[in-house]
Amino acid sequence: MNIFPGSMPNPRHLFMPWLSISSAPLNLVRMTTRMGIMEIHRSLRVGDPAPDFELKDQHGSSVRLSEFLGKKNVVLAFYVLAFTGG
Amino acid sequence: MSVDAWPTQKKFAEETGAQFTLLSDFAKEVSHMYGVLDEKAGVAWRMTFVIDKKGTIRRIDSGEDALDISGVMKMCGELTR
Repeated sequence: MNIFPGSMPNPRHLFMPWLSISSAPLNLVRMTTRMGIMEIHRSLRVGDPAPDFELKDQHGSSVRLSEFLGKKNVVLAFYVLAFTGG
Repeated sequence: MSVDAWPTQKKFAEETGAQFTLLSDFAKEVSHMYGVLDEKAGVAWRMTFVIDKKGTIRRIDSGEDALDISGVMKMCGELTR
């Protein structure tokens, strides 16, 4: 859920007692309301740390983003679906 | 990266001759974490992130802009200099 696309302030820089900051990733904030816990993803921006992940590549082997820390720059390209021209 | 299963990525890599890693975000968790998941369609939008060696995002291209890789190439050139 992203209700503030691109404009959500970093709660770490503000005093917002109703927002509790989850450990990581930086762009996820949890808000406790009477309805329960609500998670908000704010859009990532230039200058943000890239959230780490581990996924399988086309050979079935696991690749972790943090493996490249200090070694290589990474281009991460999301595309819609394979075989769609997307 | 897409939400295709990895065997699909394998076939896609073979057919396109892709020389880079194709990641499978079948669980859609990473697409969600990066804020690129279209919740209704269940697929990721076209979006490109350039991440430097420190793990910092240095450039983001989305939608039609992401089809033009010149900005990404320029940023990569600056980072490897």
